[in-house]
Amino acid sequence: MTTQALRTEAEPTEAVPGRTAATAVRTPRSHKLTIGVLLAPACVGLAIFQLGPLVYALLNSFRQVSLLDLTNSKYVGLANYAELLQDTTFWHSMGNTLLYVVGKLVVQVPLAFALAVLLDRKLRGTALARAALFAPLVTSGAVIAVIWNLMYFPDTGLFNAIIDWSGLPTQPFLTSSAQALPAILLVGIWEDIGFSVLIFLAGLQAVPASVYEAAELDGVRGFRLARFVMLPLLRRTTMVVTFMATVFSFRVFTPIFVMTQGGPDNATNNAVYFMYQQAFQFSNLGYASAVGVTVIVLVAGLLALQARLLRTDLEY
Amino acid sequence: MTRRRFLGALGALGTVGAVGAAASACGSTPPATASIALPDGLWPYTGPALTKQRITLRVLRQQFPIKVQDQYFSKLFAQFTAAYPNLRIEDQTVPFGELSQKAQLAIAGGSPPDIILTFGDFMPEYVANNAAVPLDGLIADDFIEDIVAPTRTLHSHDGRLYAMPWEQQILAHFYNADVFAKYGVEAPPVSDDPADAWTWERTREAWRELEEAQRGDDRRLWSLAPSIMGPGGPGSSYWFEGIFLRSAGARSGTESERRTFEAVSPDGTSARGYVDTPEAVAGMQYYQSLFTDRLTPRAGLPNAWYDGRAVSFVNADTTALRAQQLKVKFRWAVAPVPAGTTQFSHGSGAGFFVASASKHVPEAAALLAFLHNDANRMTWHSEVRGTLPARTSLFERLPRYRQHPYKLMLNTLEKCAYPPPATPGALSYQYVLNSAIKDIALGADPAERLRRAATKLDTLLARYR
Repeated sequence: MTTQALRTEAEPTEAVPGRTAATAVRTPRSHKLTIGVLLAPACVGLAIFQLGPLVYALLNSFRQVSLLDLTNSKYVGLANYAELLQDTTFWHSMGNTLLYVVGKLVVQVPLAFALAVLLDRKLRGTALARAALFAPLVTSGAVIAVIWNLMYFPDTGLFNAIIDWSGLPTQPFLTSSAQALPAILLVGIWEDIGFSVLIFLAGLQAVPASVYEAAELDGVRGFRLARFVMLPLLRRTTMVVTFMATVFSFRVFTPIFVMTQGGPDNATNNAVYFMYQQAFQFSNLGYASAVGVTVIVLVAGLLALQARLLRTDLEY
Repeated sequence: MTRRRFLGALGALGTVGAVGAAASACGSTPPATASIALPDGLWPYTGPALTKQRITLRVLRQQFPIKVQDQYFSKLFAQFTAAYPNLRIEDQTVPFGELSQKAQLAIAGGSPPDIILTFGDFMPEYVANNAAVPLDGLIADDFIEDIVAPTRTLHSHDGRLYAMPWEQQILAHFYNADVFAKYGVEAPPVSDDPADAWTWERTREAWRELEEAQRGDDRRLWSLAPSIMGPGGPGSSYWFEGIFLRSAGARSGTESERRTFEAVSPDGTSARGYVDTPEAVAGMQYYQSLFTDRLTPRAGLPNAWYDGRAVSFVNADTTALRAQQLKVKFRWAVAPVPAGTTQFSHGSGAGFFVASASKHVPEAAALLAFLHNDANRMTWHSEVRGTLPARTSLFERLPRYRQHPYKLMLNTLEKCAYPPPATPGALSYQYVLNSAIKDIALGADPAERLRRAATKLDTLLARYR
């Protein structure tokens, strides 16, 4: 099928009835040049700082490279990937990563939606709640990790002080294999939820008031309003929130680095921390690059799956 | 003034500035100021004459825990640049726990600092990766021969010295004598002879007695303060916690005991059968019991001993001077480091090396020589930090080493201090074992965890075979 044929068969768009790609106003050449000039710095920056390292990592993943002596590397083909497939610690860290992602999506997305709905109602104390939710967004991740670390402290931390005061046995939040990952997850949710709420809030405020009025006339309120009106209309917003939460979850590093160093017994070792260990603790840059490439492929696959599951034609 | 004129003037000013900066960067002009001679000259530097061009020497070192220690470097750098005004020194400091990674990244980036401070344990890895310059020919032979033998071995490769040992440290058992007296628990013997040390088993008995005696008290003290090195807490320092593994072995015992003591194969590329022996497992079981018996905390507690929150502190010799500087509010005493099958302390310390990528090797070596001359070392060891010197002649000139507790530290160094396992994968070795030690402290099965660590190490060290 030719391009011309495609153009003639183009469907009218939702936005402007009767307009097709073929009848769209053409951008003048001078405008194209201006656009190109204006975009060039950003494109060059992306190429140097994003694409370049990616290509470099891909090339390194086929080599054995020591961080201390980059000149002394040797080509090993797919050996790093073969080793990766057999590395139980890597798969354990991937398992932890997926657990973290699932945990975060299951808790953070519905909670963020609920909080956004509450904030949207402009109840008393909304301003304070909004500030409290958004404060972690502008706080250093390392500072957050240090503070939570102190609160989780086995004998003198805030949480155990409260637990001890209420007569219950104190908990080894960060020193128990069973509790360490949920403890890190809680920090992640607390830190990132403000961002998700912000996106949901923007989505909610974009929905026309007439929709709510119509729902009210039909007697749809409360949970049913959220379930059958808001959520379908916010499907695209939900997709963005889910995407962002997934990406943030895959990238989580600071709390693990500061609070548990991947322990105890690899219970909090995730893909990124595992990669960091290979590169900067074991000087094994080639293997770390193979881990990086594998993780990128897996994340891309997961995001594609999410996009497919959440796709919609509605947009607000 | 019109906008055009203003912009024109601004442009001219920028051009003049840029040209000036470029001219000074080219270093074509020798300094005009007169130099102030260094009191001891450049001894022990024996390399070529230093450049007359303007250059900047970059130094990467740890941030020392006390302000006066950091200021000491500033003072010495100022003295050196006063004598050589064409040299500028850029002093970069990072916390000790981040030093190795910072150095690694700087080397990987291709433009490392000229001089890097590292823990001696890691020197074999820097040498194996051609990251350091040999100092023979730049530093006097008699100075090199004066370095204490185990430390010289640690900082050398194939008979060539690659780093200037800044200081060395050994372990001793510091304890709060008031607490032992208060609860009527027998305290470890205060002695200058390491042979008088208690065993680890006997020491644990005393700690258990202390724990028992405090039952019912509102404010209970930990029997043993956690490690304060690196991130603190269990698994933060192989230099300290590794002794529970290695002291369970013996230099001249059975094959298994000998391997436990050695901790790595002779070529430094195999750990299986060295760190996972029955003796090593027993050593780690002992270590784990300190946590399960609640004698020591499962997380770091900075300054726990100095603050009086812990009774005993098995730590580096610097503890004595630190306790004096902090004027701790209790009577303290020093006993020899407890003994396992072997009485064991790691005897190593920090050392400076010149990066092989440095464009100013002679000048960097000269600065190192100045930092390490007798006068500067004497001040550091006697007044500033209190660590053990790395050279025999300095011990003879420091009278403190003829009296307690410093005499004990010197005797420990001579009789029962051993260098860390020499392996080209030193960084990986310690990271893997630190992680295993931490997991064991938090409850992992010692035998299984050490076996996994040994397997992981063999995979990592295979690169160097």
